[in-house]
Amino acid sequence: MTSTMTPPTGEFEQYSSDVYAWAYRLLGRHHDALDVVQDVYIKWARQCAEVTPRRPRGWLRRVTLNRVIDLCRSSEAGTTLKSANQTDEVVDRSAPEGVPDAMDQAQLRADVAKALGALTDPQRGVLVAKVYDEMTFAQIATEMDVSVSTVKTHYVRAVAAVREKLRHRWGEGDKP
Amino acid sequence: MICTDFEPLLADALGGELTAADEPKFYAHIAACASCRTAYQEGSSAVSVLRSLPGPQRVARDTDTVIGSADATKTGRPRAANALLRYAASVLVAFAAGYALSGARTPSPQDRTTAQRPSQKGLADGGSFRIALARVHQRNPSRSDLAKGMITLFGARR
Repeated sequence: MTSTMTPPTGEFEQYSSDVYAWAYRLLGRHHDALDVVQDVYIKWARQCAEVTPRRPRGWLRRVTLNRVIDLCRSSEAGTTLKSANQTDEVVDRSAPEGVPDAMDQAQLRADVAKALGALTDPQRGVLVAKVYDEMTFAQIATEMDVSVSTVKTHYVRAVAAVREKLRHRWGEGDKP
Repeated sequence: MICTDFEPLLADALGGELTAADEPKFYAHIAACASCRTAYQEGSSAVSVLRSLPGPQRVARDTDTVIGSADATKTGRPRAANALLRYAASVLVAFAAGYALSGARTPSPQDRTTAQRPSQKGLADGGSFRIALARVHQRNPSRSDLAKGMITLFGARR
């Protein structure tokens, strides 16, 4: 009785840190990422009111990335993100040496978001799952309910497309 | 344009899953095929650039708060009202903590003889009530701070 009346908050909480991490990588700001978590949670609750996704993590990854890309497009169009003028209070201690400074990092995020926005949903999901979630092709295939060869094809094509979008960065001393 | 048969090997190489058995075939092909070699080199650079975006440091604690406020938002309370309630609760908690601590630190002589739990006498007598509140907090710190704050305020007024 209660399962249809209350959304499965517990199940979402299991993945909330993943949702936050996906959003944060592309937005780079704590509160913007939290806003995305909140938006995705509301979508999750609405979806679960009808039917709970069979593969929750994959569903959440797709919805999160779509939301982030929408925000980045709005930001580019002139509607600034809420905390765009504030300094980011989370220190990027995980940034390795040689990572560009804050300004360039913001531009890099915008470039990456644009590049991801040009991909199809499956390509985007596979790329993020592989690069950021460090899943194996077999795990991704299970999550997406497709064959391993299909996942590999998506991955290669996604990398090729992103490669083209980020090509202008090769001229900055990163030439292969 | 990469060679179709080479695509799975390229995926494995770019994804860090190239097996020892496949390595000779892979390196032999990129040595011989310029376009596949370029695809591999530039693909590796693209993946490195993607990985250079740093991940978050703090995560779970705030996402729980966000989920809670999203639940409240779904019940009709707007986010601004939630923020106001949280602020009000924090002010009440601060007052309650102040009352409880001042009561705990400086008990009056009659406090030692009055009843342990809050009663009508305790409500009129702010000292024993504050001590009782402090003891409740010590016994069970997880009780709602807001409730304690409300008890303190309404109790003080009677």
